[in-house]
Amino acid sequence: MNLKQVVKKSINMAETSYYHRAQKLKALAVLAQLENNSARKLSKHVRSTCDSYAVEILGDITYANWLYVYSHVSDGFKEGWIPANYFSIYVVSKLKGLHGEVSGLRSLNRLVLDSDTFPDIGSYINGLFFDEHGSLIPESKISSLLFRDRSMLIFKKDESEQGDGVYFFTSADFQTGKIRLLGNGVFQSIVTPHPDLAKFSSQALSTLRITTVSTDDAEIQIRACDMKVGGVGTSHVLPSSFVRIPVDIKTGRFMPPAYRLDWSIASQSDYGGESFADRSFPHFSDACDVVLKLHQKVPYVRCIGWDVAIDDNGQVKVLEWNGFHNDIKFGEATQGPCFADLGWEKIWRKRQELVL
Amino acid sequence: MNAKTTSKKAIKKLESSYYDRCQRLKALQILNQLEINSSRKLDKSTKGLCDEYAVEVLGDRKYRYWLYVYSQMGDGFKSGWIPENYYVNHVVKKLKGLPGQMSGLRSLHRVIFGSDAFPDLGSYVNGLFFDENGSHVSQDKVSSMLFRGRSRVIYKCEESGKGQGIHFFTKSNFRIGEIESLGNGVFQSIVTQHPELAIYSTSSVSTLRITTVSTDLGEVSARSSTYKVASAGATNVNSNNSVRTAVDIHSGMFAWPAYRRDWSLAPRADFGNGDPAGKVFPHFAEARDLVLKLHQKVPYVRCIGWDLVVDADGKVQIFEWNGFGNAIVFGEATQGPCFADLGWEKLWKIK
Repeated sequence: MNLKQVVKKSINMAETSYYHRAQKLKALAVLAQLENNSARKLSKHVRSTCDSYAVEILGDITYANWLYVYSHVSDGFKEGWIPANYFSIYVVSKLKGLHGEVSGLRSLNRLVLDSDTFPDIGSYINGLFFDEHGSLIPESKISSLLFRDRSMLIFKKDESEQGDGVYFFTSADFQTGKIRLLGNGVFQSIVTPHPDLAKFSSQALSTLRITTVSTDDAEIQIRACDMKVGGVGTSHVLPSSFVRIPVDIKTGRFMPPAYRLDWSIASQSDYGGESFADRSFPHFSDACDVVLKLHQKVPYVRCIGWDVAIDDNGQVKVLEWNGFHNDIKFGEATQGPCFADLGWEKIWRKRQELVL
Repeated sequence: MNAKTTSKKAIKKLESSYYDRCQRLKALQILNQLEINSSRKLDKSTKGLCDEYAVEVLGDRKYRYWLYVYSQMGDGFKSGWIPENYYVNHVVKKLKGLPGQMSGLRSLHRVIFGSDAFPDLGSYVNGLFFDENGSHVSQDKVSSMLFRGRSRVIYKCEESGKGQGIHFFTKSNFRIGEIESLGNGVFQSIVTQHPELAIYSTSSVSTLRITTVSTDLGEVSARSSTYKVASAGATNVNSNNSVRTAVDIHSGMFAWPAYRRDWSLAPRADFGNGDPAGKVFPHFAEARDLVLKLHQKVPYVRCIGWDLVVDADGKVQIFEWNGFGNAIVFGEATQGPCFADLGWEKLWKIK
């Protein structure tokens, strides 16, 4: 190993250990909140089951922390869970990699997935503007093209997630110079929510997160699903304000309780005073069909989180696909184990064999 | 700023200062070799011009070292040159980025370009095998798919710049498990090169690197070209054993002298039984037109290095496209300034 590799390796190691420490703090904070919600501590016995599973099956005690969280939500330990930090370290790097990272290029949605289910109307990439078909548009013409059929639009930055890096523009305040400062991204039309969803959040768009996997036979399957509802007074789904509720992947039925971002139990006032009980996500099976079909185009990205909305015409709109660091912990805790049959728990062993 | 962003920033800073130090050593080493080649030192006044240009136009004196190299090759300082480390720090970052990194995803050639200009037979990505059209192929059918009509294939690992990570397989030594441990990559058929090229490089396939750019208006054009030959006995063109010579971007004519990897002058014997001086790369205009046509499909990758060859039937075969860290040093030194009209020298001012 030369000096460069030694330096790179030690930087990597420092970053990884920092990451695991941060994940531990996060998981333990969530656990404390869950214990607070139910006034019930996670039992010692369950804890030690998590510990031995982390060490024996997943290769490191650092993976126990998210297992505590999952166990508390599920009221007991279940075999086959994938801790969020294990997912990031092994599944993301081994089964997604740069191919998955490309999903962060919102500006290239069409190139990679070639679908009109995205509300994309143009993009800005590396100093150039493009229309919805990827044709080059001169800077002087982009504004009139974007605002031909609308007075307002969204600009979503590449590699942004969960409402981060989303900007609204009207034809009056749109300037190409502002876009240049923001960097690469996609222009999307604003989706007017389906009336069934508008009930939960009048201002923000409620979105469905569907998590799909591609098996070792490249078969595409749905594994987890939840709905995010923007908090009152937010203009789009922002991470600081949303409420999440699990959705049954077979029926589309909401499965209360709903949780806030800090995993406290959400109250009805958080989502417009409506109740989730006995309700379903509208056009659920259409949404599933759309994402299954799209995932078939990129089966080499082995796990994808899709953010989907239903517009006022009942059309499925795919707002983004997340094929890299998509969040799995909410699904694992409320619906998991979601990925137990995929052999993901063995990836760390293969890695070790390679190193040896 | 929280602890995470502070520490990330510190790590980045460390990495980038390490990178620039390495670049300085590399450039000075090459300068030394060039001075030996010509028995002539780079004069003080030219050095002074480089120093001034680095600070005033490019914003940092660390960019002067590659300007020394270019000046020594070009027999004097020229305004408009882009140093390699400036290119990486500013151009790669701001005009290529993640969209440029996609070029490392060799399995996506067909998806991105919709072209059969790549000799691709299939790929292995994240545990799954695919045919040339991107359809999934089950493990037990991979071997028969690859070796239908041929006895050997090449496997190229993803992000395998500079000829590293290239493996040959025959039907008898092909094992799925071996591909799995090599990681993601693409299978390509073995190209038999054009007879006019075979005389320069009998043992392996030589390659032409054409560097193309896309302007602020999205117009694409070819800026420099280099012909690379592996020294005798090598099975592929690897940077460690290669000999390079500039190729005129308009006429396709080989330039002379040629250089070895350490920038020492290459003897004619490095080119096998041929003498490229004054000769023209076969089907050069077709090759240039093809890569320009393909670049139009990804104009947002603002600079691309294409590696290609012309096969025995006169067809252009593209081995790879490099849209991220493609090196520009050799082109700038032998044919530059190649990018003077693109405004790249101003990119450092954009935060």
